[in-house]
Amino acid sequence: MLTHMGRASPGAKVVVLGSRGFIGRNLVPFLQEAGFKVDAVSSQEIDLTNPSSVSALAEKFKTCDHLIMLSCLTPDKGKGQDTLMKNILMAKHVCDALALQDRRPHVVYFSSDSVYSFEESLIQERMMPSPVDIYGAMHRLRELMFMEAVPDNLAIIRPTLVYGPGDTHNSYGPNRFRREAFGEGSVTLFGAGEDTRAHIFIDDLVKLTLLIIQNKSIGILNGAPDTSITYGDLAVLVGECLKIAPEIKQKSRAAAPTHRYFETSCCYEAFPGFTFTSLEEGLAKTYEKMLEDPNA
Amino acid sequence: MSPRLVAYVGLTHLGLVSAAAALEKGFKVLCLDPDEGLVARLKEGVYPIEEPGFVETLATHKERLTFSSDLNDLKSADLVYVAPDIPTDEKGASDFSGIKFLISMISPVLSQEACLVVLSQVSPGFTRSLQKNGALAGFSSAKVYYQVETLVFGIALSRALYPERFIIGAYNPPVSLDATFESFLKAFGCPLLVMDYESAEFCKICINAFLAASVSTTNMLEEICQKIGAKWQDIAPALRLDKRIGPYAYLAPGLGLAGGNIERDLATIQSLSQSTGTHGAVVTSFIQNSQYRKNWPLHVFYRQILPLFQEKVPDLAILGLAYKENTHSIKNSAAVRLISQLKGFPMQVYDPLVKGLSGVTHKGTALEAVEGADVLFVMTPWDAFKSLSLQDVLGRMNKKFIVDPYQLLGEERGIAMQDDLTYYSLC
Repeated sequence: MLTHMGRASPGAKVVVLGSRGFIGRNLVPFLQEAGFKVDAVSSQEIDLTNPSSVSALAEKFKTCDHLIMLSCLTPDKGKGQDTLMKNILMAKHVCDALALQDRRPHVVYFSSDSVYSFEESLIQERMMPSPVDIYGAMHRLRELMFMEAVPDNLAIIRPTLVYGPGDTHNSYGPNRFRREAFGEGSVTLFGAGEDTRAHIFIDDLVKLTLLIIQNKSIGILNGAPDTSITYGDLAVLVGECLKIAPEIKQKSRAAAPTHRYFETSCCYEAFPGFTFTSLEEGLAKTYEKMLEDPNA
Repeated sequence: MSPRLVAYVGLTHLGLVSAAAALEKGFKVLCLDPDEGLVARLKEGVYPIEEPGFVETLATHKERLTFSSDLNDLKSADLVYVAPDIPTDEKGASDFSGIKFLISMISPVLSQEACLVVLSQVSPGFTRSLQKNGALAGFSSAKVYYQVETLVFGIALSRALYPERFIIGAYNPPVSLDATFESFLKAFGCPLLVMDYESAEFCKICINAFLAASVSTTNMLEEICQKIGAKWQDIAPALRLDKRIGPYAYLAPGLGLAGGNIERDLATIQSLSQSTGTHGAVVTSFIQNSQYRKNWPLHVFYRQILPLFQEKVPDLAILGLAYKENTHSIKNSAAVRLISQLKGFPMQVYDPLVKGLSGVTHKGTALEAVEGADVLFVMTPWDAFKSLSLQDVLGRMNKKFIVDPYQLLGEERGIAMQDDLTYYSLC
């Protein structure tokens, strides 16, 4: 589902919107090490919800070869309609700024696997998105907005759950389990943790993003590994990695378990030789980094 | 009244095999194609197809066989089969312009007593449309028939000689078949089912839809078996004894649909279901399952094998390029797909018939291809691969990873697996 349009120029300029988020903080230095000139833009520098951002962005885009759009208010910042409208407004201002360019950059839009429904458990890029909540619908709408803004020069990444050192989110998964296991000596699961999910290590996600930039790739790629795990097994794995045995607590669940796996042949075809970090290895690396930097 | 001369126009796999079967049944046969170069090669005994018994049959009955590219030779034929290939696009949609043109060329030449039989794979409505669009040029529609072909590459001649049944589409059934045509068909000694054009044309598609259902269902269930620890090889015999499934059902797990014919019919059903408001998602699932299944070797490679090669890029060997055994066809071949997916990895390949694929190094024998390889994929179930000695294969490999979906080299043959061998197969 990805098509490579050629090799990126050495030292090409990459604007990263949302550079201070979990992904942005890992991605920016990685791009710089690869030789790209990175203009890292955070919400503190430009507030994308403000209409005045259009002119500021337009100025930056004049000399921009690649734009990576990470800016998004994630569900932990609110799941309601106000957050939805802000996210749409942010995308609109970016698209408005793109529309002002004579030469529009190659755009990489960070979407989410929340654009897919749980009717199918095996997710492939060719599947038609069918979001079931406001957050998923927001990402799908933003995808469509960027498809209209840069129809011939757009890559969309739909990452699944991202984990790794320095993740400030506390969503249900490896990061929260690690914090709970350390802090409370227990991990709390919904039900018995029957739901199955894939988890992508942050290093893999930034490597894939770099490959997309380097190859000027366009199309759609799910940022997800080819293995999935139940939350119950994940809690045990996190404990093994930390060499502690957290107590597993259960709380009642509101809905029946759901399962998600990814068919990753599109990734392998696009980037031969790329392999995903196993969850065991990724958790171990996260833990090592944590020991090196207690602030992480 | 037996036909004096049976002609086959369009010397494709289908046309040539059908002609060989008619020869074997004792008929005088004219093989005609507008391609003069092709006809010249056929006259010299250079055949574009590989089928067991085909060359021998033509040699045995050569005194009753004529090759020609002169349309006027059709004037003396009582029965004229039209069998060109129908090209498809990447989505399996058919292009009928070639066969229409061919029929419009030959119909003015035919005797008014002759029968014209469309043998190619066409969509419902095609045969009746010939009159409307002028392709018959005055030739009587009542003398035009459609015959369902069920060519299976690798056993095509056997199936043509001993068909399970003939399915004939006629302009206005139940009016009896033309006597000459009926006499020819009866020589094959099988049931004869006559219906209208549309029913016969769709019957062919229905057959392939059921085959696709079996293939897809088998592959899906086999994958679940692998994941839950059940053994498909124990389940399949039980299914075969169920009368509703049967002893000849497609219950051998494989790498999805290939060859092009079933995929073409599924595309036709998709189109028909869309245009008629019929719920056709099941067919979409067959197609998607097939595409997914073809990726099984790729997933084994990336998930199980490649992570073990941290120090070097593994050298690959692929045995088998054809989409199935006993054919040179690579249409929708799982091996060719794998090669394109693994471009960039050093690769040596061997196939008994398929040569000249670009981007890979072809070797003269299977053992030469596995020389120095770290990972071996056995992608086509050729008999020749079943007779390979596992010891010989392993002796030539460097690292010893074998991906053998059809278990050609596996324990089923009573060969003990070795400690340094990592072996992957379907059930």
